[in-house]
Amino acid sequence: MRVLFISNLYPPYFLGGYELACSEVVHELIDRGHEVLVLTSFSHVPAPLESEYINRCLELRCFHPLGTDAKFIEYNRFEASCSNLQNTYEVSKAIRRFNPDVVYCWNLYGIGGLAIVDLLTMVGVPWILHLMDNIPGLLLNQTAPKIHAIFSRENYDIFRDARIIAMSAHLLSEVYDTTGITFRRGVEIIPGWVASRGLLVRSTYQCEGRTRFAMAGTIEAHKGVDLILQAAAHLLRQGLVNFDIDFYGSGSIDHYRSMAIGLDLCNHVRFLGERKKSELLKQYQNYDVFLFPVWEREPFGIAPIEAAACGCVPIITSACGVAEQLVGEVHCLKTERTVEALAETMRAVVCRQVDLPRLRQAVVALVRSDLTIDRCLDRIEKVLEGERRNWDQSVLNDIKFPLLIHTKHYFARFLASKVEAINTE
Amino acid sequence: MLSLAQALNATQSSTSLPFNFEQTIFSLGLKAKLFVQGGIPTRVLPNNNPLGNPMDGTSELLWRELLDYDLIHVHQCLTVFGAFCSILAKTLRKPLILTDLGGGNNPVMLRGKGLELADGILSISNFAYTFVAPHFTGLCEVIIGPVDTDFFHIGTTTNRGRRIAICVSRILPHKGIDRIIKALPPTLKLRVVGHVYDQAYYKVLKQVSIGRDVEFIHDADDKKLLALYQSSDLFLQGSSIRDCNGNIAPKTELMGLTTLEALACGLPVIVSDGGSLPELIQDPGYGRVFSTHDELMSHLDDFICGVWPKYTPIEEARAYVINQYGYSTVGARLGRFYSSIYTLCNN
Repeated sequence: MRVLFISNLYPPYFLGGYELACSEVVHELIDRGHEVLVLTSFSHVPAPLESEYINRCLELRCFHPLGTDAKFIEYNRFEASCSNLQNTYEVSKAIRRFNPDVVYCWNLYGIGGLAIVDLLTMVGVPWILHLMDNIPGLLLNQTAPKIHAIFSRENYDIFRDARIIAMSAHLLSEVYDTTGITFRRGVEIIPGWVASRGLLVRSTYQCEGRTRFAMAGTIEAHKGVDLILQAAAHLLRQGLVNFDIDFYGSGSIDHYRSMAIGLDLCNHVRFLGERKKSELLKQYQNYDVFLFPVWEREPFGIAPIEAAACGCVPIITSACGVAEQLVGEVHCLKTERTVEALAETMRAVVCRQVDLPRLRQAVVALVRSDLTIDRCLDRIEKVLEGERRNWDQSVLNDIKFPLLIHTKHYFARFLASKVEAINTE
Repeated sequence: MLSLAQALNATQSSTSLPFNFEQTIFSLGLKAKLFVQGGIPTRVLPNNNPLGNPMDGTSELLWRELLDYDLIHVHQCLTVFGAFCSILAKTLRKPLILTDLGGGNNPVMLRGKGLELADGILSISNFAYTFVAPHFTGLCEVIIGPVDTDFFHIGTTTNRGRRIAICVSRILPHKGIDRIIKALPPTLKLRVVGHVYDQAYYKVLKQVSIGRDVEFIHDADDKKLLALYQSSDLFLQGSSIRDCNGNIAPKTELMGLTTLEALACGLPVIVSDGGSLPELIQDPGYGRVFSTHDELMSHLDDFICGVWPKYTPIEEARAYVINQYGYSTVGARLGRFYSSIYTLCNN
């Protein structure tokens, strides 16, 4: 198959699991003999020369490491969610030249995603949207309905009729809650995965009576960093000192380091910065427990299953996406998202009231069977094959097609500027 | 728009056209409605943008509704609504015809070349065509009218004098009613028929009417309007691109329909050179055009003195309108234009 990938970000610059998962699927499909082209945005992160199948021609209007000048916020919001003319053009050009069997869309926020899916629909090329976040909500809720109706059609039909892969039912609930969208063609739920081949598994726990916790992800409140620090402080107040917590990732590290100092956690907490995924996977076997008190809207949570694959038992928020896959007290420990609840769960672990080896055995078995990249790729490949059909390029060859794209973009911009003017008044 | 649709409907039974047309008019309003007027089903869809200018309305329901049609003719194509409908039509890959009726000036459709999305443009006069010509390179047809010549007809009393003139127009500065009143001879009575859209201008008109025989009629329905045409001796229209306040109204009189109605009622007409008005007057026997106050004075003198017209050209004027702008002529031309665009897009 010839598969055209579209993703706002693609490693080496990445924010989280979404774009990493995209790159893993790209590599796996290439390994399976498929022909691939990736359209994505510029990456400033130093890296070896990239393969030719990666084309960084898309403009990104968000997720800039240094933020955005306030005067461009409205403009960028429109271009990020609704329409970026250059990106729409680049996608149309790529479709014409690459002539894909299927277009595989990942995170489209930041690159004018609505206009891109509108383009794919107009052209008639089969396309699939892989949801690892609430992309319909992000794209639709940034602009007024009368503006995005130009692209999204009546009642968001452009998404309702799309072929969807989603990583959790929890995520689909969020899409529904924020947009009212249900997907008419059904949804393939394919969870996050782990490339678990060759990973070592932790065998002994709480060596020398000390519990080693790890957390990996963006060092921000929504990932539960505040909760972890405050829960750790609870443990100290109860006289429990035989634990360490290591944080991996970038974000508001200075803020949380100060917070840790204020909570007298200096001897228990370390912020170790960002690590390559391969490095992290090697590190997890050194920890007893993976802390994941993430916000409830977390679509899935790949980090805890990666940790689990190495025998690092997860403590997760009861209502987040990954909780669909892991059974509490069988594969993991589940907790409500409060300091007290998390502290109590951590206390039980530190006090050796939890049988970590038993949990490890179950979760490793689960992750290394159902949640492997091979298993998930089989299912992805099947969905791609299912969508594949004959289509022709007649729309792309219509000499007025670029004008239609242009008119839609500028008409939407025209409406957006009117809305802005009304809001300013 | 309704008249065009009716003209096409009326023509289908009597003229052989390549296709049979079923038409629906879509419009926007506060609530959904369906009714039939003049034999044409009219669907009113709820406006997604009810605040502000009604021309700025949109409705996402059009995505579904337009799917059922083979050809889409968007009137008021330079408004937000017009641009929205044009975009939807072409996204759905429908043959698209556009018409500017004078509303809006959407930059996306003009400088942005959105007009070029159309497969054809129908202009309501040669003058109207000059506004779209710089922005469109495809097929264009100029169709003036139609006039409902069954309704607008010569009255039973044909013994007309030279005493009463009529001006039928919205009361707005660019309509140049002040020009007419200022040139009015003492022996000629003027009826100004139309709603007031500009109170300040109306006040000016009242002021210049002092000492002249001018009657303002604001409540004329179609029946009363017909009676007023039929009981008048001369039709006057003074529209101007530059109004009495010095303001420019470039699209004044894209199509001077009231002039054609008057002719259909057998009236001689004197009209300004504003907008499309001169192109409606093809025979000096029943129509004259003026540019300046002096020219208008001179034409009115000729009328009062019986120099012009030499005789009352009732039948000629009416025959001209029926032949050129009547329902069957316009309907047939419209049907042929629709057919040619449809054929072009489907080959």
